[in-house]
Amino acid sequence: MQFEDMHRRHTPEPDLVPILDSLVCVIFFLLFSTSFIELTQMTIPPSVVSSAATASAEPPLTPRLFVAKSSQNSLKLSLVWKGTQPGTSDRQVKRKDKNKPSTELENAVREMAEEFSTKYATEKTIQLALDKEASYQELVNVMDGLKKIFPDLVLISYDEVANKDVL
Amino acid sequence: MDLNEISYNRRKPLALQLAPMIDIFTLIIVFLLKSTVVADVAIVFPSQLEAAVSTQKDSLESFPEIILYNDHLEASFLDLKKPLSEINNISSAELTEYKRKAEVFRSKSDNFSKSTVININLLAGRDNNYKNVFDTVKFLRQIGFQSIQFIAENEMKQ
Repeated sequence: MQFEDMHRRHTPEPDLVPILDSLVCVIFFLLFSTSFIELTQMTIPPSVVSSAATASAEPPLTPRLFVAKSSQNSLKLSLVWKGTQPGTSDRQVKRKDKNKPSTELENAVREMAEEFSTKYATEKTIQLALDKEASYQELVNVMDGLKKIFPDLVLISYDEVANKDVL
Repeated sequence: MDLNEISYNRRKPLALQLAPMIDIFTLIIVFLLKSTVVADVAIVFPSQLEAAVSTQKDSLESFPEIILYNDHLEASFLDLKKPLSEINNISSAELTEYKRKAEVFRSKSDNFSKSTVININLLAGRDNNYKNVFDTVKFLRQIGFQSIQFIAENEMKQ
């Protein structure tokens, strides 16, 4: 007894592997090419010309930090500011070797800056002057102490320290 | 019944499918090409200078470098090598010439690196003094560089 060859329907099977490959490709492309944009809207009011006398602006604080040599083994730090209530804050820091990093100097400067910041939190710029013989390491230590409170540092001339007569 | 004509279910031997394997490798290569970052920010500190130590951990950026030695100043991108004693007494003609060189340097940078042209990385030894640093900063501002980055070694806290 011979059975005839039965005609079988071959059900097509989708080949999943290339489909997955192309999907992964598309996902990677989207990952690398997508950029998020935040749309903002700003409404500018119509300009107004006022004839009334404007209130006088407060004088700027312009805080300045002077680092001077007060004796062979110590530095004097003077923070001076102007504004409606000018003031000054002084501190002495011992230094053994001006070319070695000094955590005492950095911490002293940071404390002075934090003290100033409790009164004038919005002031972010400070002018800095060191003695002309002060080392680059000392400058870096002072800048490290100021950076968190005053991100904007302006170096001013060493002559200002001499003129300030901080000694 | 012809038993010889009954086909048994044969086990197909395992075949290596090359096409998906090539696809996967291509994907891996494309991913690596896109994600590899070649960092060209490397500062070579001159051996004669001992770097200052800082506690800050700001990231280093690739800006033109100026090296401040104890007695002279060097900036290869401006073709500058000058004794520090002459920095404060620089003539207006020389200053104009350095301004021109700085301008030429800026104009050669492509649009993507325009931010590098107003910033300078200043390298100095920790024993150098504030007078030299300030005089250098003043000179750099005179020739048009607006912002100075002071380079120091990060203190490795244990």
